[in-house]
Amino acid sequence: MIRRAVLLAGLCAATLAGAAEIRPTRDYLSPELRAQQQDPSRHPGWLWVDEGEALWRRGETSCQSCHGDIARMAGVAARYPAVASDGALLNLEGRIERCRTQHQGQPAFGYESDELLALTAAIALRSRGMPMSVAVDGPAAPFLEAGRRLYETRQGQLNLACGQCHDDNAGRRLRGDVISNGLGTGYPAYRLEWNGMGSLHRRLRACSLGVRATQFDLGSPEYLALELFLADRARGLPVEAPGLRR
Amino acid sequence: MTPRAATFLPPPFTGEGRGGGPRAFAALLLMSVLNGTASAQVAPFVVTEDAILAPLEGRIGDAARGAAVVRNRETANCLICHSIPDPRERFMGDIGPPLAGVGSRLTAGQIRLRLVDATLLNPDAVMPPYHRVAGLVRVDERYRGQPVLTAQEIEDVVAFLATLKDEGE
Ligand code: HEC
Ligand code: HEC
Repeated sequence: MIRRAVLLAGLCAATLAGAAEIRPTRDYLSPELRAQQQDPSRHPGWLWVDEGEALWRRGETSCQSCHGDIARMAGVAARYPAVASDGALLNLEGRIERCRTQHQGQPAFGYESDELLALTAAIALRSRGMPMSVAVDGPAAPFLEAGRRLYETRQGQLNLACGQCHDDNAGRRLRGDVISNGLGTGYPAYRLEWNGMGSLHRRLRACSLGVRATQFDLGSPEYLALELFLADRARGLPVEAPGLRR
Repeated sequence: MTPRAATFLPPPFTGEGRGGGPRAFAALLLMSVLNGTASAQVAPFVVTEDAILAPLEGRIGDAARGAAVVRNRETANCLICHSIPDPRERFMGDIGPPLAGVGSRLTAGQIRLRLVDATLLNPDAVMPPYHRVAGLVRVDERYRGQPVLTAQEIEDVVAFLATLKDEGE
């Protein structure tokens, strides 16, 4: 594993074109962005991480009052999305909102709010470098299949399936972007184009719009199922959140 | 490549008799109406071997207008995937083959088919269909029922690409 990572680090993205293998997203980043993603002092996403860690401790029934130090969240992001006891598929954002409404008795932050992005980023950071390992059997199986179908269907006015870019053309250039394998491992991510932090579902809406297909809502069942499928595709690859993107 | 000769005509207009009946049925009819309206915007054409020999609707293409269509980042967005021989254009894609020399490699009819619907040649084509509405899934409602490019725009782009000859020709 380590040897492989070292070998890959030396390769430039162009040589990955059309690669059948699914590679960590950092392999597709420019060397500059890759270095910056690893360096908190040059990664604007750390503003959200700091805010998230403060939120973790804030209030009487704080997250910390139930879970202890945020360091104990290590490994959690690698296991999400996951099916909750009531059968709902929850991603990390959904899990946090449930704690907020059911255990803290507070109104939900709302998808894409700075608070939710901050907490998600702070929690995901604790799993950085850990291998993705979502459960896809039992109650998760139908969600995985729904996600796979969405991934494999040609859609939109441009009639493209996700894999036609993220499998068949990974490493090639779409305008100024180098296409990666389309994993969710770097989210939430700070995108320079957004001038801020954004969720995976926000990125998925951009890809849907790119092929002129219906955009599903943030937190919709469709994108949740897709997120599970992407997490399964990334099995064994490292969590990179909070990511840094152009 | 399998040679094929078939007529691709727009689906018949089936909007008549709308109204009444259960919900699902009404929804089905509505889809037909949309397809029907859409078909008015898609020109009929005949495929001969791997080409559409006749200009769509008999229109005459204009290479200068075609060049503008190819560069347009809002509509056709060809350069997201292809490069053209123009040093002023930056950040061109390399998903599709470079378009330099395409006018020497392909006839106008072959270019026309690849623009109208490349899946008629290769079902797995990545190249989007630029003049088709039938059989597309989950199209955003702003674009539903319309082809990306009109028949005139297709002819303009064909005229432009035909000018991209190999050097020395
Ligand atoms: C026409 C090409 C194209 C299609 C089709 C497409 N994408 Fe993307 N996608 C891109 C590009 C370009 C980017 C930005 C570069 C990158 O990170 O891959 C991107 C980024 C992503 C990312 C973020 C990766 C990261 O770490 O920042 C995810 C996740 C993703 N796509 C998933 C999907 C899914 C799921 C679908 C289908 C619903 C899809 N894409 C369809 C081109 C495409
Ligand atoms: C999403 C990517 C994409 C976009 C956008 C795109 N193409 Fe293509 N194009 C391809 C690919 C890939 C091929 C090779 C055949 C295939 O696999 O579909 C191709 C093939 C072609 C060919 C045949 C070239 C040859 O040498 O055989 C022509 C001509 C062409 N494209 C022109 C255009 C024009 C003009 C536009 C815009 C109106 C356009 N393309 C938009 C991806 C794209």
